[in-house]
Amino acid sequence: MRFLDDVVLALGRLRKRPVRSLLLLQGTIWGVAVSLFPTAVIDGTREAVRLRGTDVGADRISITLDPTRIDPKPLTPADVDAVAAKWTAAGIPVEAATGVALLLPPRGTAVARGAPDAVLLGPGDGFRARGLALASGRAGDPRAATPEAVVEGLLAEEVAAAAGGSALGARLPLPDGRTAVVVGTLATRPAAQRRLNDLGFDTDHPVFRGATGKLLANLGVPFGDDAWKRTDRCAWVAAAPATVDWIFLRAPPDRLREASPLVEAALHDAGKDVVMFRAFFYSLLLHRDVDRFQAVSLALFLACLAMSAVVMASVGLLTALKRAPEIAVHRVEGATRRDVMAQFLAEGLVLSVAGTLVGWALGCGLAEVRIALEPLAGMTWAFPWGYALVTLLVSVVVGCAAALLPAWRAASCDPVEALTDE
Amino acid sequence: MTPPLLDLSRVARTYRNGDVVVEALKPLDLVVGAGECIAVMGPSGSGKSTFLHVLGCLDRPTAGTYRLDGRDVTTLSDRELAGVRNRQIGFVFQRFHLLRDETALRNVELPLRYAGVGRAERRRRAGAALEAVGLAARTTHVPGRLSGGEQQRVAIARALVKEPRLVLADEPTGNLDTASGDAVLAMLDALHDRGVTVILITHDLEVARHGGRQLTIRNGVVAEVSPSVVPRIAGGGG
Amino acid sequence: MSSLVAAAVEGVRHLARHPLRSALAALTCAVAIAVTVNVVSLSYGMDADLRRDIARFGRLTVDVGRTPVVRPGAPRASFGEAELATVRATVAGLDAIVVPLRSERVTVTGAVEVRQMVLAAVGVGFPRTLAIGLKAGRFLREDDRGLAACVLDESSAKSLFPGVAPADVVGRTVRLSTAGTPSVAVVGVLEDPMTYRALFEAFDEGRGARTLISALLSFRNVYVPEDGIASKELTTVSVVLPDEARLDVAFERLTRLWPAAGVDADPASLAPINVFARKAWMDAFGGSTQTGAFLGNLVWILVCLVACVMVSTLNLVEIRERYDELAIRRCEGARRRDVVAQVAVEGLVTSVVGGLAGLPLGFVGADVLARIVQFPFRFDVRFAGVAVLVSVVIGLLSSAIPARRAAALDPAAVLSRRLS
Repeated sequence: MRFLDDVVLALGRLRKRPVRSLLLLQGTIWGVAVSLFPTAVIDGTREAVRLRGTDVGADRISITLDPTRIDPKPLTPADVDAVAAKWTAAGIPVEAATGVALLLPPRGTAVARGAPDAVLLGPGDGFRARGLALASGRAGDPRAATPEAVVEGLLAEEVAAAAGGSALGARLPLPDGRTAVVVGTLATRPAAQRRLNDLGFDTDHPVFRGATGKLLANLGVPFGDDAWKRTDRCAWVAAAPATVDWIFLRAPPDRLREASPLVEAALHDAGKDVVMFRAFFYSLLLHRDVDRFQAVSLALFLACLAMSAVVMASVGLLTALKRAPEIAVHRVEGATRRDVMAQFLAEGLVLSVAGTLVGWALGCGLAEVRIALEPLAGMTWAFPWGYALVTLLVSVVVGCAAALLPAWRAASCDPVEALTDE
Repeated sequence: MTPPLLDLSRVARTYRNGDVVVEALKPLDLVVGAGECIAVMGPSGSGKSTFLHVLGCLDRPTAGTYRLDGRDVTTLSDRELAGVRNRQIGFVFQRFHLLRDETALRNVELPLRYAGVGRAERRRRAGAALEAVGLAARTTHVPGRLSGGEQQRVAIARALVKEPRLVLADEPTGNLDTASGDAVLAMLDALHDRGVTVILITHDLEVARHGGRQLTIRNGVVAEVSPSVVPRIAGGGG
Repeated sequence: MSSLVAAAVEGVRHLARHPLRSALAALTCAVAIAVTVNVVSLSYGMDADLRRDIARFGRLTVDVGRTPVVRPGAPRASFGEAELATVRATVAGLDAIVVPLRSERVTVTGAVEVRQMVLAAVGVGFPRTLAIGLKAGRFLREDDRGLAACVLDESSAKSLFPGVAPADVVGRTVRLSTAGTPSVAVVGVLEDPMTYRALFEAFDEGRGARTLISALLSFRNVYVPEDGIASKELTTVSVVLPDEARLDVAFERLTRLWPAAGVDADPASLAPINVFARKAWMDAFGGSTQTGAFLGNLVWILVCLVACVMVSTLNLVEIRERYDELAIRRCEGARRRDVVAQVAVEGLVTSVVGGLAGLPLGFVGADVLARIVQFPFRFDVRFAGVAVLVSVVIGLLSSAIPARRAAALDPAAVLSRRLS
């Protein structure tokens, strides 16, 4: 009798007793689900960082002076070059490196429409180091007679509206009284991206506002007046300042973990005390060390599966005895012991596959919930096919092994006894 | 002359239950030719079921030789015996023994599944068998929706579908009313007319009359009796 | 009463008559308990360690110091001798110990060179600001002057002298990168209060943590006498009070001079100098670690629920097979109560035996996992008690419905169906 027929029969039995089967499979279902979703989250996030690292801020480091130091030595453009040189020497590609001096409007004054929230003085294309890109025009030239500015997206819209058309060529008032000419505009970021802070968190996410933000504050992470980073209303003016307030660096996300101590070393050599911000969590996830913790997931999966197997074997034993007359009929009509065993194994197979598939679905649901609760914008989930198929394989092997006991018991039933017993 | 279909020589079946030894079937000789119809009578506990099971290759005799259609089945393995049952022997039981959760059609298909017959072919032959017993309109019914007589007819169809040499019927009318019982017996007669060897186990005198020969069993001893003796023996048992 | 006992005995005998089936059911409970032990020892253990660590950070200390606000161009408030005198005057009469701290970043060379260490010039009362002790040697004394002596944090000692026991570090010298690259003798090593240093440092890779306390949180300091740093500008002034009552008084007095830095305060609105009560921070931080422990609890509760459901299903199926037996018992004089007692005892015995078997399984499993994951699993004898309690609950819950079924069956109906 072909095994396919056995599988069809087993499916029929499963359909006839859906509730009991579901209850028996709880172990498999939850074991698969609870171990699948961390893997899904880790795999998804790793892929997201690889494909959209810039969008989630996983490729950037922001540096400023340590605010608790007394009389710190100021940062200079030479420091930027020193860091870039150190990276290059270590074989880390420098995707962008810039230092900017920050000009803020006086505290407490409202910023007028068409005026920038902050002015960043530095190389004309410094915005690249913040992951921003030109939408129109060109980068500013530090040597130009009139200061040349590249304005961020939302500011550009205001300036364009006031200028009745394009922002390019419009005049931009600077906080220090000078006027710059707009030579380029930057693309406006999606709102979700704009809200990210330098550590990669979505500052508007309820979990961040409720818990994570407070935890960071307790740990003493100094956020301060960096709201200007999240408004898309700044102006990047090409100039050559003597000292810089912020250094922005970009490197491939998977190299950031080794790049970061090099930054500290380079600046420390120059006698500068700094604070560095980056979305460190992504580096943690990208690191192979995290895979060790998957051992815990796997252990949990195996434990739940063991429970399932044991209960399926028990129930199988009970029902094997109850089905003895029915099995006797099969034997009378020509089924061999092997045919009977095959039938039970098919049931074990069908149950395991069903349970695993339900577990996959549940695991995806759990991942979805987990991601919704996550303030780190780059955290996402992707179905981990590799791990999922491993769970399927292990499930099936264990399920068939669990079916062996009842299968053997059913096959060794004497059909004569079962028929006369009636 | 064609060789006999059933040739039993000193066949016996003994059970050992701890220290107790039960001779369910004492050594017997029996020859049954192809196309014969034999009735076997005896009270309950006489060893009728054991006799049936041995004849049907469900149980191996503990002594003697049993040749079915010229082949010594006492030397066959479990697997080979299953094959013999699958292709050559049909069973009809008192309690029908249909699969509760399957339709009539799938019940009749059962032996063909184990014979490895393809799905379309199976369906065709099972359908034909059900039609032959007059249940063409009931192929999709499960046993729970069939009357006793209809269930037994499905069992006969199941026996028919394998085109067996031998049909063993254990009290086939025991659970049926008179009308259904008569219909079933008519079908068994029809089988017999087509050359199938039928062995009928019964305690009912009227049923026993359908057999060309009569055997009796008492305390494990099988004996052949002449038709005129039958009423006296059959009347005493249960 | 004796018939209940008899029923219980019947239950145990039933289990003994079906050893394979009973063993399988017990195994399910064993696995559930093993998982429970694992998860609880992981999350509870870590939580307990963190709390212990936090408790060592000086509950009775108030800090006055500069605020970590990133605002370029903002005026740097003066915080020096005058302010130190003000603090001393403010807490006079409270039996307070006042500990000034100045710090700068230096490179220190011991057996190896370590960059970015904090050189902290502190008052001799510094160890009193925290609840930690000396690992070896002594702390600084009043008569230590300039850079005559230094004390290292335990992790500093490990970095500067790898492989050397703290007791042997005492007496060695380290070279500082400050003017003149002086050599300083090590006279003592302070205990490291951070159990999960590796975890913390993984999170603080960017050295982003900058509260008044986090300069010390890293505990990678080199302590020298007060005049070991030339600058008169202070980093913090810590005040240690003998009890909470006087702590509150001191805090109240100090916050009249400078604003308090609450844990929830918006950093952008803080003044340049703030007063910081460590106990508020410790309570808030302790609350945050609760969440992690809670999630761990979800896992083992889920697993035990699943085990309950499955064992329950198993018992239900079994009961259905036993209707005849139970009906006969009822005919022979058992009351509903006796039948329920029998079923309940069967469930309880299975789950408790399984639970006890699961304990060693759990410990062994945790040991193996701890090796792979390199994370401490902490065991506690109380877990065994919790586990047994949990297995009792599983046993009761999983035999509840089957017991009800057993109680509700009508013996006559069951038996007559059989006979027909």
